[in-house]
Amino acid sequence: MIRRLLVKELTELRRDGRVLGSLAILLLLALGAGFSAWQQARVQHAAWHAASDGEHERWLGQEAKHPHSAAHYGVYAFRPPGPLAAFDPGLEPYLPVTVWMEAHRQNEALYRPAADTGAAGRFAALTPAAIFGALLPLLVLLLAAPLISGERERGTLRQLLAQGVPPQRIVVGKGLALAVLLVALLLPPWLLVCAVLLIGGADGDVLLRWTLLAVMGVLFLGGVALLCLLVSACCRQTRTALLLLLGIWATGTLLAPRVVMEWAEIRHPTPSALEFRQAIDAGLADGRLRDERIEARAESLLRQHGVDDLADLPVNFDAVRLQEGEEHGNRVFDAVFGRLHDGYLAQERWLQGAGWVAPFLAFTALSSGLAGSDLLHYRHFVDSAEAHRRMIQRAMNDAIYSQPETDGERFMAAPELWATIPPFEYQPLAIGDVMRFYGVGWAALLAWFVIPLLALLRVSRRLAP
Amino acid sequence: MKAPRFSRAVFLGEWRLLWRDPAAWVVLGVLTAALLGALWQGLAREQAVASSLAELAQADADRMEAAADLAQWLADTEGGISRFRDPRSADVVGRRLGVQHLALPPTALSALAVGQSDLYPAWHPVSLESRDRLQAEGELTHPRQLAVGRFDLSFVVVFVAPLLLLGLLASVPARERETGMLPWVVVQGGGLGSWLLGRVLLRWLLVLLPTLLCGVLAVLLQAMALAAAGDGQTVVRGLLWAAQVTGYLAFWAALALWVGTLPLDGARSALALAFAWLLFVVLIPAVTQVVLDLAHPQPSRMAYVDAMRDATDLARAEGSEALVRYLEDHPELAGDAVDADDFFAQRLLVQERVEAELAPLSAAFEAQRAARARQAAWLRLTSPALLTMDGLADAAGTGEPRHRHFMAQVHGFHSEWRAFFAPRVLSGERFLDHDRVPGFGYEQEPLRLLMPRSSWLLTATAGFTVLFGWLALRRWRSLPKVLGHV
Amino acid sequence: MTEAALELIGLRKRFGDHEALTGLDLKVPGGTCYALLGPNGAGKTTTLNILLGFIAADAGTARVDGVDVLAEPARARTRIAYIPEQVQLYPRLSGFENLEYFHGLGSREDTAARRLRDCLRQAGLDEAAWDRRVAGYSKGMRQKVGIAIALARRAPVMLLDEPTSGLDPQAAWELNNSLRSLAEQGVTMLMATHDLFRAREVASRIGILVNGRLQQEIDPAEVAGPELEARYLQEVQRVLGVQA
Repeated sequence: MIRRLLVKELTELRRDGRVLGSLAILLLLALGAGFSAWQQARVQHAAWHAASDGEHERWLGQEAKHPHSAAHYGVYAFRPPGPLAAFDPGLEPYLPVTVWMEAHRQNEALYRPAADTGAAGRFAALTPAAIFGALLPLLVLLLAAPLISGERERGTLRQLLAQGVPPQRIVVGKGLALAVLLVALLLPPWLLVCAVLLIGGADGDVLLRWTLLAVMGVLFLGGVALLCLLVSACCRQTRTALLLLLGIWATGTLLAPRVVMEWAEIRHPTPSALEFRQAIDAGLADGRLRDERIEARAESLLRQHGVDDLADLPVNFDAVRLQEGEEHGNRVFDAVFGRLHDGYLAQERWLQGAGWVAPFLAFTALSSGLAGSDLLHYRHFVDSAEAHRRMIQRAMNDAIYSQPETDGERFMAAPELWATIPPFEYQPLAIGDVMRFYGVGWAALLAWFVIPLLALLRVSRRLAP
Repeated sequence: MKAPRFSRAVFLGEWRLLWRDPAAWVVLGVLTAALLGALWQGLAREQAVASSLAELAQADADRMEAAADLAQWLADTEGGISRFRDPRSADVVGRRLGVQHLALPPTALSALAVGQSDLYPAWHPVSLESRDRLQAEGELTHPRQLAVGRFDLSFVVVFVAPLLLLGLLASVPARERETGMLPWVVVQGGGLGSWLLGRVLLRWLLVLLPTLLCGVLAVLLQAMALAAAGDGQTVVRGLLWAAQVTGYLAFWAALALWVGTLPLDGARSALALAFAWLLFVVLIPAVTQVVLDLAHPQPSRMAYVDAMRDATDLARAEGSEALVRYLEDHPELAGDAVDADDFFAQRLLVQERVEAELAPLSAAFEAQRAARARQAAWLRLTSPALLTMDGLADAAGTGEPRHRHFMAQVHGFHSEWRAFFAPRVLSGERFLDHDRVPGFGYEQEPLRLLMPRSSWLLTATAGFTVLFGWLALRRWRSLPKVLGHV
Repeated sequence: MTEAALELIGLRKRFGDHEALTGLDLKVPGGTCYALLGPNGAGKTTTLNILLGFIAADAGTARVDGVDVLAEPARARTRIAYIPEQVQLYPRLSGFENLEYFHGLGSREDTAARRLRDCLRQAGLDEAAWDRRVAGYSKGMRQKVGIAIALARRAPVMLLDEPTSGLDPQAAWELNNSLRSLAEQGVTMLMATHDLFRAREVASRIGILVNGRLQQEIDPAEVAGPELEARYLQEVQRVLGVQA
């Protein structure tokens, strides 16, 4: 019986010109957005490659110089686009693309692409993720709203029930029809991307991310479809169902992100650039601990080598001063940058938490997380770059340490020293860490799937004609 | 269409209909809540910016005063200090102690629209450092907040208000058509056009007036907070802002008027309006962005940095700036062997050389950006939402043009600063002109620049309004179609 | 007999393949009530729509109170009051407020509330209901407000589309009384209806419209109820039967 109901629903959907028209428009938009996103990701990737390679070559090409001069010359780290940024560029346009790693200072990352985009870029971007998360639910809403309330309005529901069809089956038939349509719509592009990833030699991590995106998409869109069916089952008129669902869509998709982010900002305020820089300057200026440590090191080295003057040490004490200076800076940077990024991530958690109220928010957070274009990945990049910077500083200072300056002659390191520093190769965050961070988002999406499902089953048992 | 002619009875009737319509109260409630939320957000934001700017200005002044005092003390006592920290060194003052934070002062309207002000910082530190550094420093805003946009009055005007207005207008006159009341209205003889226009106007005013009122309130509160009510531009900017809001909502009213003349029932008419909203506010702006990205790809900052590093290396090969930086950071390591003034001079020359090398690169980047911006300006013509978003920010003074105007002054001042300090650095003389360093006076963007831009945006929005008004008028002329008989 | 207040000559109207009016000739003298009887699709509503200027006739002439409807539809409408089959009012306004509103649509000047109340009284609406919201009105009560609105217009011609459909016998009887009193005041009425019984009671002349043409005119005073029904059915079967 369900099969018959399913076939009837699918036939109706197929013969509805509006359904086909909307699908065609959506498909066209998705194609345009997908192509544009892919093109951009490709260009960004190429630029990232060229710039990263160029930077490493420049580092290697340094002439013989004092290692600390090389530390001051520094290296730029470039942020690669997220592994699936072509699907969801997420925060990419608003995240700085490069950070200069030099001696003494953890610099702020520079150049947000959006600053060069112009005001029009501030409207919602047409990305595959946006089409999936915002526009497809709108289509589902238009399709699903009249499914049950329409039958009720026309009086056909009364006829069906009078024929002895169990109400649950009617609802299941409708739900299945919707599911079949959505799967038919989404499975081919998903498989296509799988094929492209496989041919392009993507690693298991990327494929896993893509699969998890699909699971998340099923939960989200399934939840949306179930909610629409539930509203349709409860409304006497299609018009009421439509208006109610449109209201929910507009609130959840349009209003909620801004309201929630404003709220998040109140709960976890981002410092102004001025406060942030002042905090760093103040931290760096307070060098008491550094000076104490330098003094202690000096004493212990003098004792160890049995000499009275630092100049008589068989090692270069300047390196100790430099490294202690680094350690001092690192403590300040860990605290101040840590506070900034902790605040950022707390806001992201807040956004996920708001997913309990508006599932679109959980979708947005998770989608950018799995695509690798979120703050979690950005912070990981910044931390990785900082770790690399500290590694360079330590290596340079170690080189100085072993070369005591005699007769006022400055030590000049040979270019071989530069080759001991590996290029900065950013490894995206492990998927396990991503999943851990987004646990709340997953739970919220799951709830948004299960609760409407249970409610629909309950309502369908006593479906009023 | 005949000129509207209404008796008091009709006004009273329309007013009663609106007053007793729960939907109108819902709309008014949601609108008021949204407006007040946005107002509070805007005022709080501007308050924070204003206090930041005041703090910076004070810090600049204090630092400079301390430097002058120290210089005087050193001169009086002939005390010793490292040349790298000596306030009598032109380089030390021009590069660090004298740093001036140039601020783009908020206007009395800046609480009305965030515009691009969350992306571009409201201040830039000017010193002897290279010009490139000016552009790099940005305000800290949560990237997600930048991505989703702020809940400001512009958002309420561009996104929320039309939705509420359309919600009120979706059943005008679909409900009358559905119930068969429309022919009756026609027979009563007031003229369907004026009847419909009157009904739409009343609902339009219900959304427009609170919005304008909120704008006025925001300006008053902001002016009080800034104590800058004397600004002669406030009235003009305020009028432009109000004109943008009025024009934009008029466009939506005209569109609803046209949809109202189509033979649609209530549900279809609501759907048609919802789709129109989606089209103009979401889809078209998003599609124009895709078109821009494909036609004028954004210049890559990574490529820029890559090229910049090459250019810098080239220039540095002739000097040894790295060594200077090293010494600057470690004056205790410099000893007597190093003549600081020589290094300062050398660094300045290297820096100028680097800037010269970078100039064509920056120009090319800027040209690419400008080409994209020109294209984007044309593409705004595809949607009143795009036009209005820009118009509101421009009127409030938080748009890109005012920031560019400010940046031009920043660059000008940077050159002035350089021109003042460079000869003193190169000569290596003791610097005692602490009270003669150039000061920055911000010049308002003249209205003659703002007016044509705003008028153009307003005209384009009005074009959309006229188009839909004309379409509606054409259909009114063929009455049976309006009545849905054919 | 007074001069015709409503005059239709050779009126034709075609919708695609279907010819709704095939040369309708009709004259309604001033101050009389004319009932247009006919089966579904006979052209009754089309005739009313042409008179109201909602659709244009393909050929022929239509005059309302001497004004050519086809040439000056808006001016002709000022001579007409119209009561649709379903009198729809704004449910959140009271009966009086509805009257005030609808009347206001057509008049530039404000009409004294007293005169409007007189119209409600004349239409037979219970005074207790005047200031109650229309949402709680019965169909008959709404019909009465519709008549009051028509009365307030002081139009010489009144068009009624199925005025008794869906009314209970008491309400229909009351409506007939109101219509009769209107005719006595000199209002010319054209009523499209299926209701033979009511038509015979209130109309001074009955026209049987089949296939877009007036087939027969009957003076109700001359025929008894059953005979009117027999003649109507005979006429319909004759025309439609011939066609079949």
